[in-house]
Amino acid sequence: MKTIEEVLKGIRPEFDFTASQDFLGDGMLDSFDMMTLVSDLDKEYGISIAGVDIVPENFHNIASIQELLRRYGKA
Amino acid sequence: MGWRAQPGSPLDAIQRVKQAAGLPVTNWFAGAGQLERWMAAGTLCYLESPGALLIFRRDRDFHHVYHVAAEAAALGAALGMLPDAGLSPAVFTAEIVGRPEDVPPIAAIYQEHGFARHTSLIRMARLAGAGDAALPEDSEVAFGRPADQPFIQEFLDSVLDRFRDRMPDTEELAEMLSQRQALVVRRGADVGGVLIFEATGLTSHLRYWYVNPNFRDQGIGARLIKTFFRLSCGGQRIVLWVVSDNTDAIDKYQHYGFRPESLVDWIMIDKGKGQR
Repeated sequence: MKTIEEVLKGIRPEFDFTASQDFLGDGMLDSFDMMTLVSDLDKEYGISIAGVDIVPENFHNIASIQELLRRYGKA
Repeated sequence: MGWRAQPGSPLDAIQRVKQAAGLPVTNWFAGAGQLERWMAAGTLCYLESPGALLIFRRDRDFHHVYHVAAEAAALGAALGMLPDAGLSPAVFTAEIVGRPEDVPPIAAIYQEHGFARHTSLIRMARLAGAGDAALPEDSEVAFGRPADQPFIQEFLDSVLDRFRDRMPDTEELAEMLSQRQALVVRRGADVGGVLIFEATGLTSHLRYWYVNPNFRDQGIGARLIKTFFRLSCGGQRIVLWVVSDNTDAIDKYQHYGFRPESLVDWIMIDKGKGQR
C-alpha cells in the first residue's frame, strides 16, 4: 500500500509535501487536485470518503490526511 | 413552483447533498473569496432537488451552471428542471473539468438536457527552469496601472470568448492591477500587450497573454512571458488553460516549456433550447 506522501507525489511529483503545512495555501494542490486525491485515497485504501469530509481542512497537510484516514480505520 | 431557483448562498444546500454522497459529482470549485464576491454582487442563485444542487451565476448575458450531485442520475433529474428554474436570460454554460476519461459521461448528461459542447480546453504546466531567475530585467515591461484598466478591459472584451474565458469583470480586473498581477508593454499611448496572472504559493496561473494586433511581430509576447518567468522564479510551477485544438497556441506554449496535463475542461452551452 502506498504511503500518503507517495499518493501525493503521484499527483504532483515536483513538490516536497513533507515541507508544507498547507498544501492549498502553498499552491501545491488546487481544488481539481483535491478531487483527484480523494479518488486516489479511496482506491488506495479501499475506503469511500464521505462528501462531508471533502473539505480543505482535512487535506491541509500529511497529518490532517492521516487523521482523516484514521477515522476511516486506515491509520 | 417548487423548483424555481432561489437567490442566496448555496453552502447549506451543498452540505445537504454532500451528506448523501461519497465523492460527489461536481464542477463547483469556487473558493471562499470567490463565493463572497459573487454573493456581494448578488449574482448567485440555486435550485435544489433530491440529491442534487444546481448553482447559477449570472455573468453578462448568460448564467454559469455549477452542480453538486450525489450521483449522475440525480444530476440528470436536476437538469431536467432547468426549464422551470425561472431564470432569464435562459442561456447557460457549464464547465466539466476532470481527467479525460471522467468528463464525457458527465457531459453526456448535459447533452441529454439540451446542452452542446461549445469548446474544450486542456491544462498545461511548466516547472520553473534553472535559468528563470537569470533572465534579464526588461525595461519595456511594467506592471499595469489603474489608468491602464479601461484599455485592458476593452482589449480583453474584444479578444476573449465570454462563454470560454472566465472574463474578469471591472472589479476583478481592478484588483488584479492593484495587486500587480498584470504586466504590460506600452506603445505610445496604447497597450501593446498584456499578461495577467495569479500566484498562489508555489504555483502561478497564467490567465491571459495577448498582444495587441496593431503591434504584432515586435517581440512583445516574448518580453511579457520572459518577465513573467523571471517574476515567478520563486515558485515551482505555472499552469494555464488552452483551447485543445488551438495547435498554434499549444506549440507556442510548448516552445516555452509547458507540457499538457491530464486535465480537461469541456465547456457546455445551452442557448435557450430548453426553455418552455
